[in-house]
Amino acid sequence: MKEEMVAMILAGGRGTRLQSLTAKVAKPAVFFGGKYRIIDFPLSNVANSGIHAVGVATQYESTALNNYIGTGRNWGLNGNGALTSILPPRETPKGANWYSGTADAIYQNIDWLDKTHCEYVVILSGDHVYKMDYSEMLNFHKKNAADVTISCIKVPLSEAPRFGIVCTDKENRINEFQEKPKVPKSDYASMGIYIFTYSLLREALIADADNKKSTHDFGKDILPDFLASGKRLFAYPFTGYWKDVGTIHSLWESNMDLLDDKCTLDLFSDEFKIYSADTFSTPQFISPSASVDDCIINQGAVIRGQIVHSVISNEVTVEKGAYVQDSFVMPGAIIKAGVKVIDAIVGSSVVVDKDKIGTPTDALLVNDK
Amino acid sequence: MSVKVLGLVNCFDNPEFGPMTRHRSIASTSFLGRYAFMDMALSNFLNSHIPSIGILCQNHIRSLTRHVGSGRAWTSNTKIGDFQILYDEPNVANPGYNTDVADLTENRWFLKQVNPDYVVIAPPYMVYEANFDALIKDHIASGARITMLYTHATNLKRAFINTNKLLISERGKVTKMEPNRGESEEGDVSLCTYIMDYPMLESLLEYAKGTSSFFGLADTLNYLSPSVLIRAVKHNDYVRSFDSLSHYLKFSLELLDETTFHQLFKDKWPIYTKTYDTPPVLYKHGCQVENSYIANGSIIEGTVINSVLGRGVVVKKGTVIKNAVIGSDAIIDENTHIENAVVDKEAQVLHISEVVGTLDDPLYIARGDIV
Repeated sequence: MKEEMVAMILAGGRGTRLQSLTAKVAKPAVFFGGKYRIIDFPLSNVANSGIHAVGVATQYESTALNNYIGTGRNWGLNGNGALTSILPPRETPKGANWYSGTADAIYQNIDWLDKTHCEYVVILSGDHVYKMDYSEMLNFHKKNAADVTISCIKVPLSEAPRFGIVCTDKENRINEFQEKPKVPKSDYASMGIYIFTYSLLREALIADADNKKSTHDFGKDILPDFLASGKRLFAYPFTGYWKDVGTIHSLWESNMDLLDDKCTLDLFSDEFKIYSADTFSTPQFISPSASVDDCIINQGAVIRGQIVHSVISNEVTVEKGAYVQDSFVMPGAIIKAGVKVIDAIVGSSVVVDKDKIGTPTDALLVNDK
Repeated sequence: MSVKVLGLVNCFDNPEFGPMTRHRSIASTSFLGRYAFMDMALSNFLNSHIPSIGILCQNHIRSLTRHVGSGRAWTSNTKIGDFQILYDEPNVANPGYNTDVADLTENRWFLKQVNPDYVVIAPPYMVYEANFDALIKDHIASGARITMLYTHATNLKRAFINTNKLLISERGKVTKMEPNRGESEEGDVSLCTYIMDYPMLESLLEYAKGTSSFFGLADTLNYLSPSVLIRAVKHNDYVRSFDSLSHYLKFSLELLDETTFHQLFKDKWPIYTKTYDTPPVLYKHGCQVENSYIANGSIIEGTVINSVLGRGVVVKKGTVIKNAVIGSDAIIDENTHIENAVVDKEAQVLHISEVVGTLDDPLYIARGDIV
């Protein structure tokens, strides 16, 4: 195998801020948009960018996620000449190790990367919702003769303190990092998507692994070291829809965004499709007693109640007289007759038999099974 | 299943839906928006743990291959199982000779390769759910060489026309078969579904060949029924023969009734189909949808009542669709009235404001047409 660029997806995190949604599955496997899991986005991006080899580093509650990724078939990443590898921590002659940080997760898989004979590696998070062609980012990387390219997005200055902020010159060369700064010097936020020239990344990971003071993290250790040693770091300006769905509220918001005509994450475009597992569902049924208005509903759903401005997943049943508004309902949930669900996320296979009402500023998680 | 079974979907002598089936077989015609008819037979096979499947193709091979691809969607183990479209190329332009018997003879290599103990033959246009696992066990226990599924119908003047009507002895043997010409309402009709051991199939092929080159399997069984024991097994559940455009529309709409739907779609009996990776349905503000099946990727701004919509259908504002089947990727422009109609896939209704037929004589808009 000889690939110009391969992808590594960091999918090991627990995502504790998603509360009980990640009690039994890793955050990348959390449901999204009625039909998808979050990791469908980076994996579909990889496929749509013409990348043939992807490694997915998993760790926390990985069984469901590993089953879901399988051979990469759902994203077409299982053909001849293609490679999808699930990369959990493993025991080696030196002993057994967990991944101690984002950089360590890549370091422990240097052997996998070596075998792909790649020139570049794109490092991705398994828990972001966006569409992006990484081959365009690679062109940018090569044009700038960069050592590292970081995909960045403009954020409102008021929100900048939540992000890793980069400061650049006019040519997009990065000259400073600010990690979650109280007083941000720019509104340019790192999306946690990096293209590294592999030979340099390899050296840096080996050096970092030996550094006892390091936390083995890209944002805190590897990238600041690259900057300090005078390497060429560039910010790739990304302008599309991008969301880190790290909290219940941001997961809810991101689902509501799908109903916004102005949302640039175009799921309905025939080009650059987002692929997902087939659920072998029955046809979606809107019954005579149902009313649906401004919503997204997936196959297998049976709607007998009223749905307003909501996202409904496969195999969800909304009984007659139930009312669902401004909510995201995950697969297999049942909303019982007469129940109101407003401003909420309903977990998969949850039976809701009492009113559940959140607020537009604090969406309610309904996940008692 | 300890015995080795081959499932055959028989696309020979299937009915036609007029212009709708000019470029496709019924097997690959859209069913309930997200399926093709053959998905029902193929899923019966897969759910019955039948590992190897052949599709007997009379014509329209483009349409069949497009839907089934490698057959992966209906094969649980691609090493142990096998999936083939069986095509009789030498006879395809030769209607009299292009029979299922000739097709099986031409593709005997496949039968030999699978080398099954038993063969199940089912047509794609007869829609029903059947557990062949249990049916084969009963067949073996009965000691019969041939089992034929049938149903008791009370609407034979309008349905199952030309399907074999059966006379069945008290001991469950088929004593006579003759095509239903609609003389009386009540009777037993064949589901054109057979279970037999493989040597029996081989001898039927030999017998047919030695009798008439124009003989198909049904002709052969018909001919032999007085002298060969054909065991009749009654199917008591939902069965419809989708055999005309009118029946296509009526039976599709009939499945909007939830009780009827659940007679066909059972728990733990998934219907497998080809995936198109379409996003969920988008219901825009102001739309009205009642009693309908809507397949993924559709965008609904208008009104849809009592209808079945395929994948990626666009229904614009002010449009009313009622009692209709709309094929995948069709576009229905603003302020259009569609009723008792079948709009085929990729058609665009842009210039006319009325597409109205009757349930007995639905108006049909052909695939890809712009009207």
